[in-house]
Amino acid sequence: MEQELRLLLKRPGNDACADCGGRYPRFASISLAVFLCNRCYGIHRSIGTHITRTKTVGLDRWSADEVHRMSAIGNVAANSYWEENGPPIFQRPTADSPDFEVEKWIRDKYERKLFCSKEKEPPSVTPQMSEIVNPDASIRSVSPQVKLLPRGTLRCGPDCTVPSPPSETSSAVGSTPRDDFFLQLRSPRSSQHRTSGSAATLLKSPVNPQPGTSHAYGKAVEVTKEKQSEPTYDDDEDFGDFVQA
Amino acid sequence: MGMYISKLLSSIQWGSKKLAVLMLGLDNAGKTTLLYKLKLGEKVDTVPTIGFNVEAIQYRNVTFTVWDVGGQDKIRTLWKHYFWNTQGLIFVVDSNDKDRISEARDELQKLLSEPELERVKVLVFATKQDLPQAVNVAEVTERLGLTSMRGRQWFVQGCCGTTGEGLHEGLDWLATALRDA
Repeated sequence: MEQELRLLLKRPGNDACADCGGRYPRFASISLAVFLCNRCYGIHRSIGTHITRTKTVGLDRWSADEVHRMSAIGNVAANSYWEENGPPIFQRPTADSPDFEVEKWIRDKYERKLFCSKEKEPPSVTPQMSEIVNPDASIRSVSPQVKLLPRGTLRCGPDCTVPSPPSETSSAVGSTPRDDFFLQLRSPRSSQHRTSGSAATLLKSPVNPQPGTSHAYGKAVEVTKEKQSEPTYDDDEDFGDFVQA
Repeated sequence: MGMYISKLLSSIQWGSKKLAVLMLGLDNAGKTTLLYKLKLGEKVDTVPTIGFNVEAIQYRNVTFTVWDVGGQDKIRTLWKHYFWNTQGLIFVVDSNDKDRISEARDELQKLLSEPELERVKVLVFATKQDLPQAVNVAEVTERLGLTSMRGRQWFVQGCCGTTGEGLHEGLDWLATALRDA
């Protein structure tokens, strides 16, 4: 795989960072299928995997699908989508631009999607292609085919994921991740070592604690919530629901 | 009055306590960001850790010596060299990266089956809780397979490396758990 990636890095377009044009990119965003320089890789890392998922060439293991995706899309095809309505070339950041400028550019490009066409979907690899790839075949034998799908088309590329419905657990304890930001879980056993707690954290006693029984150990999980000012207890209902979950 | 005496005794008992803590997790989980947020109180821009970072973090009456070891796929084999003499394990999980929580679970379970880590207390930081697709702490706990785990003390704390929220609560637990050990 690594050999194939190194060959990919020599292709025209892939030999420079997709975002700043810096030389010798050795990093990649596998979700966007672009090769990146060290600095832009750092910026991509900090954005979050919901926008861009990164890997290094050399330090990470790559799957055949990921390599294939990089081969099928790559810097040229990806940029033709993401920068379709971008500013003129002289206004784009270069390898010499300051970090804040490059970060703004990257966030505008991928997170805020300011420069891509609203009518098109991002470059994707068709499922047929994904199936016919032979991992042992040389990467050069796979011709890059990029398809810009019309909006609304179901994409089933290797990175395509179906959003999963919220689990019972999450719905039992709170509606959104933000609501549960300070929710903490404590192992059942640790309740034996519970101290009076700090001012910032208030521990709740389990409902019907049954120390010693396997059921209680498996299910009784203490929930704590931090309050900025004076800590108060939540409804017992919340906790009861969670225990059931 | 009793409380003051208790506090005084407590501070004397472990006034200069030093604890060795190992911080592990998948690549790009946010380990180095958490380490330097704890150490410096500010968010630093990080590059992938090739090797390790180590910092002494003074928190209340405890000095945590935190070893942050790179989590890239191919350098995870180096983790075992840091197991010796570790009292606490901080396992960092990117809550926003749903697709890789199962990979994190596998790595965590592998670590927990190591004989050298048999007695360590496990603090899990479910980080990046501020990002839009972050799964909540309960779900992280479930997906890591911790709810069914027996015979080990663990604690899952939601946190955010950029603001630092949740970090001190996690350290509070670790300090208490290690003091009681």
